[in-house]
Amino acid sequence: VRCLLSRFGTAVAVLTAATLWVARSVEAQAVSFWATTEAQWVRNALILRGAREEIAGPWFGAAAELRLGAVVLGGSGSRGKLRPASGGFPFERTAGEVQALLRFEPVRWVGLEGSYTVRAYSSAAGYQRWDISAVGVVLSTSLGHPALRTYAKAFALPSVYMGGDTSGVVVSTKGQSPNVRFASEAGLQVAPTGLPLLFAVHYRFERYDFSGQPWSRFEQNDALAVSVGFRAGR
Amino acid sequence: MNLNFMRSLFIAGALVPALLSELAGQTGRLVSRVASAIALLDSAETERGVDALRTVLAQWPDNGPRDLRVRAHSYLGAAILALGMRDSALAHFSEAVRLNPFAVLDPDVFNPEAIAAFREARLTTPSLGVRIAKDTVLKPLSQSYLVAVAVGEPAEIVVSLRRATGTSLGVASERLTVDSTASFVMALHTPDSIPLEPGDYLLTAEMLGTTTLSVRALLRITRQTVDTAPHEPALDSTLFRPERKKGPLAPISALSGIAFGTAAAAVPMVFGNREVDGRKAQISALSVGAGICVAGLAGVILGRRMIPINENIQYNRSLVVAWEQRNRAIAEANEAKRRLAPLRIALVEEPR
Repeated sequence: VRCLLSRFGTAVAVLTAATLWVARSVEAQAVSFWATTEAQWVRNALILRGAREEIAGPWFGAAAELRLGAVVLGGSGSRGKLRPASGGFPFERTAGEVQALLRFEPVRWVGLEGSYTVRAYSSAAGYQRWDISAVGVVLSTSLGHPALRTYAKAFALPSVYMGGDTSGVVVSTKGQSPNVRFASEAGLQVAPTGLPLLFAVHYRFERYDFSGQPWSRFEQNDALAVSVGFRAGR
Repeated sequence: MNLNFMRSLFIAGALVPALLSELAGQTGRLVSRVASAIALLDSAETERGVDALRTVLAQWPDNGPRDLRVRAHSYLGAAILALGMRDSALAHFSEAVRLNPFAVLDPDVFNPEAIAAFREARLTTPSLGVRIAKDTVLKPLSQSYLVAVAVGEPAEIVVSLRRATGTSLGVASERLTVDSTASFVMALHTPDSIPLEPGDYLLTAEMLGTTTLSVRALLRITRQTVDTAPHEPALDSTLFRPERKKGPLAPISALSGIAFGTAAAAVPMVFGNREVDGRKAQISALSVGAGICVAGLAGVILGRRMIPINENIQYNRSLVVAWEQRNRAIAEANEAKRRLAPLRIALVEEPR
């Protein structure tokens, strides 16, 4: 957090002020909140200089969202291990990410979402950090019954920064930005009527191509997550 | 403080029976002395009888029985009249009338001369008395409250009944001319036939033209309990018809589920790099997509809207309205019963 504030302190302050202003300006007619614990199976596939590597593993974390009228504030954090699944990458990674999001939903079925994610990998080979800004569209609908709701998100990633400190054995990353960057998420939420519970399952997909760089790097992340938690409000 | 209180209680507990006993003994002695004096008069020992009665009346205690005192004055007046002392006799008769305006001489006991003198004394004695039942129960709209009034000298009397507290106006008032005694009835309801409310009432008789002669009695009116009908119990839920039914299936849910599920499954296929991915991502995406599709299909059944059945809603509403009307009628009947309940009128303070 200290690192985040040191690098993006002004941006965080502006974002916070904007959030508060928006939150005050909307009529908080529909106020709701949910908080869940999350288990994910995260997979990372990479082709670097022609060599394919794949690592995967479980991550555990938590997420929360607060809806104030048409504005939704959210955040999540998770941490886990990524072990070699195939290819020649020999190192086990410890990984984690934190994310903050702001969503504006003028109507219940469509919204605009912006998020900022910091993801980090640490292994014997070194340390790698991703800073990902995302802006996208959220579509959602009730599946007949109010307890069932599905959604899909598609994001453009206007700013993706990958950097880190490595031994140089695997890759040298001194602050690169991919040429092709794309993320999406689709999920299903079950909120049983009369119970303050929320069950959810979602799938997240990300693609990053560093094809124009001095070296070529093609990377994809995907995660299958299940979560359960508490909800309150409408 | 508690000790003092207990001591006071003890003293009061000991004194009250003693005082009552003393009072009974005193009354008994007075009755005996008056009876003895009257016996002397009956046995033609007029002078001794007169002396005895004078002595008794001279020593008459303030709390002595009033009727016995009236009797003593009446016998003494008649005896003195027989001895030829007419003025003195009239004074005793006047005292008897002052003490009890309802007092009369029994023609079977007293001679016509004494009765005429008594009447003469009455006509010159200003006095006023009221007699009412000590405790009675009356139906407020069909029965009335009997009041008897007696005066010494003929006068115009106003009798009124009004609440003892508050500033409400009198509920009943009667103005009548009384020569000696008169009785009349007072209505126990207002002019618009609303029964008197329970509470304390003052019955006042005032002799017009004087300011000193008035008699007041305190009455307590309570409403007797009446049998009221119970309200109808709440309607049994089985009487009601279902107001909603399930509507048709919602195929839009299936379409939504399939669309979102397909999108979830298709994203890695369409936008993924197959060389990087090796199609493994598609398994997870397909799992979530399939889940969303199944949820959408479930929504077809779960999402059936409930349609109101207007006929049943009307029927249920009519049941409730009828039930409310019945209960309202019962409540009104109960209220009418309560309003027309007999009133008990108890004398709290004797007329004085």
